[in-house]
Amino acid sequence: MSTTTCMALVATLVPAEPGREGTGGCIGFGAEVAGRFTQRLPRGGVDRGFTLSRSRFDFGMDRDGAGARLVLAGVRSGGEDSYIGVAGESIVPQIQVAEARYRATGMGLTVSAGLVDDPWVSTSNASWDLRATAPGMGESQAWLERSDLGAAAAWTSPDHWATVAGTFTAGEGPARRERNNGQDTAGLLILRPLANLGGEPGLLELHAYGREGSRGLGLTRDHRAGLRMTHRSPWVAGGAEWLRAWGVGGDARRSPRGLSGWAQVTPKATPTLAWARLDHIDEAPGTSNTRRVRTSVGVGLQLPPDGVTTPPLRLLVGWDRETRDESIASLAGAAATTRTDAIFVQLDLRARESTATSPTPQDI
Amino acid sequence: MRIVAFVPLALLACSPGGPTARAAFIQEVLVEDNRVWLTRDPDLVARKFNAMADDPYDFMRGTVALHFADLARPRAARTPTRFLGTPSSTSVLLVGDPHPENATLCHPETGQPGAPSLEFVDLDAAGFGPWTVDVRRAALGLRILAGGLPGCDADCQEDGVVAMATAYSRRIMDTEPSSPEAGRIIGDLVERAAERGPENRRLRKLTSEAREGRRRFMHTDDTRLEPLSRQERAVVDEAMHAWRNRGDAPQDMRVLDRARRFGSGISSQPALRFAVAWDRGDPSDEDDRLLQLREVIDPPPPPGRALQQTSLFDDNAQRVEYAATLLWSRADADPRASGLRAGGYDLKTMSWTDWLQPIDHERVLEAWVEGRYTPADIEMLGATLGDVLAGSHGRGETASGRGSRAVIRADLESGGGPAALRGELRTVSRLDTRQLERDHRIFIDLLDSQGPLLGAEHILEGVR
Repeated sequence: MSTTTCMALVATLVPAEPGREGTGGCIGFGAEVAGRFTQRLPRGGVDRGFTLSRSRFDFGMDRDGAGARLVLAGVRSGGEDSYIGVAGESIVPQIQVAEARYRATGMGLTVSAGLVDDPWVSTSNASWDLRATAPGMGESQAWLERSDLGAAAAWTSPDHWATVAGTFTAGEGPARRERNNGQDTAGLLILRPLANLGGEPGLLELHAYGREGSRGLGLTRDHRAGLRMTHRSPWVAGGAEWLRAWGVGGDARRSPRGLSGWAQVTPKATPTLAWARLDHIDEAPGTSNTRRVRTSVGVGLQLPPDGVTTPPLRLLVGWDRETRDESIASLAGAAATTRTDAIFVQLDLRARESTATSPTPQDI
Repeated sequence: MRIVAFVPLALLACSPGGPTARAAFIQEVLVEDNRVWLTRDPDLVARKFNAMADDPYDFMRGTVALHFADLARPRAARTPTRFLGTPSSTSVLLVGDPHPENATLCHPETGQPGAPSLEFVDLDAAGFGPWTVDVRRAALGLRILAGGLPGCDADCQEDGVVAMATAYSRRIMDTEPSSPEAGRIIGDLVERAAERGPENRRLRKLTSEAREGRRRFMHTDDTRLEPLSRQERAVVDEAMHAWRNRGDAPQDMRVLDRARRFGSGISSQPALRFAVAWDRGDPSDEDDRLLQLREVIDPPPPPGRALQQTSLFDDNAQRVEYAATLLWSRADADPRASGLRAGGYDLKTMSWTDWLQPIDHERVLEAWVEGRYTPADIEMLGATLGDVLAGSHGRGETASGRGSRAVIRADLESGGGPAALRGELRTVSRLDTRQLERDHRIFIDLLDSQGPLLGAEHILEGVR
């Protein structure tokens, strides 16, 4: 197997390359690391400082379609408001994905089990190139988590025109043990209507997602539905999505919905990029003055500027604004919390490497 | 596979409204709030939950996290505040949980300088947040206390809250510190401290004289003290060593005995608690004293902050010590108070003496039933608590180092002044009280249906 077809790091839900038979083995290593300096407004207390906005390391191995994948990401132990952490409040690695899997490339089928990707978050990360600046809407609103304990299966049709994926998971995310006897069932359908017209599969993708779930000791409803449309071509990428939640974080009465749109331009002529994103959240659809809007724009320089392949490093300068109606502020009516701005400078790296392997004597 | 289980489980999943959804929310918040202790000592958490079921006041003491989570829920059906117009007003140093039983009369020992003062001594939940959160929490506490007094109707409760808001505003707005009349309830505390303090009753109740006149703790059901394990002994010894080294303790102090303490408090009942008997070398028991050592964990974050305020302290021990330094009217209100780390725990030291007399809601009820207290006393208690809280806030600072008093005063004025605060507090305290009483009933049902740990046994059974 050549290094270009090594699937060791590829998420389960990414098309399983039907018809492309791989033989032999490979191992892969990926890194996404971003350091950021942020100045927040309004000022007060700790309003500026450095953060590690992304620190993710992927490890994977694949042998004739059978493989395993491990994703580690740095998290601040103790969280935002805690002094109780590991060795103080150190940043510690969190296992976000740890799955064993089999990829039957001839049939376009992949199955995995362990700590598996959330299908909506995983595809969101694949369609939003600036995950290190902010998670996709579902994750940033804490409506969805990165992964969950369970199993996943995905099938991609010949010519890539459709992928069907399903997960069957615990429903508590990567950071909590199972709390109830209910499991989450989620399904994702991806259509690529231009795939069999000779175009690249990513030119147009349509996603439909649904999850029946429960959370917490109280078996609280935790359902989701989403629609998404994405486009990716050599220098433009963008998309729009709608996501609805019924029950959030163990609170069955919350039923927010959100609309998100994003675009990224990477001009061919210069090693630069620019992006814009708008998330429009309605915390209580049907009730007035319950909106939250997040706007993000920025520009970047790709490094090294004269690289032959896609440059792995980016220097980004961005601006985020979040506004919310007073009635859904963290404390109802608190005008001081209805608008926050952040200006940031970020250096981020995304790279993946793989190499062909052969079985070691101990394995035989 | 899932399809088979899908239908019944989907039906079990909570509906959006009704008590089932509320019960699940309460269960989720309370289990998460106690997670640190649940994995370490589930029996103590079960005891805590059991104590919270006893009456609405104790339930309120154990549910700061639930109150905060409720206030922060992003939903339209909440009463909007007229205040908190500036970021600084959302990052004031808070007491955290200024309910009436937290207000403690701190009486100087015989021969010590200073006058008795009323302070919020438990600063476990102290941190930076919106000033209105403290005021609202204090009003809820007063209403729940008053609501438990037979015949103290809605008007009686509301008068107390209005008095609290009025006194709070006056103290914040006035350039000259006011000194409202303390009233009978506080007067009784002064009397009790003056009577019991010199007798050192607690010491005699908990210890007995052993050889060479050295007092030892009695390990009985009555004292709720137990011998230390080897590991606990190491923690206490390290803490005492640290205390001495910091200069907080008299240099000639000598530890007479130490014990593990159980069954005290409500919210922090599962926390590690130790009792230490000490003296300064005198063979008589004239100089014998008791000290409490208690674990401090993370407080529930208050809602409504314009910015997350993280990493402002080294640890929880420093947090509570810093809060005491600023929020108490006298640095020596509790001369033995400090924060320290030992054995990997954040601990605080406190005097354990009859010179410190907290308001006790059961004692207030007793006096009320005997006819010694009237609605006027509740109103006066409200005024006193409002004044003490404003005094504490006024001495504090915001997360960015500005004086809290000026920040609160400006915010109070721009939000409509004292009248607006009175109106808002009247409304929200009524709603908060109703919600808490409903939640208390749901909580009792939950204990019945889910078991003593609210069903958290699932978590303790191990990773699946």
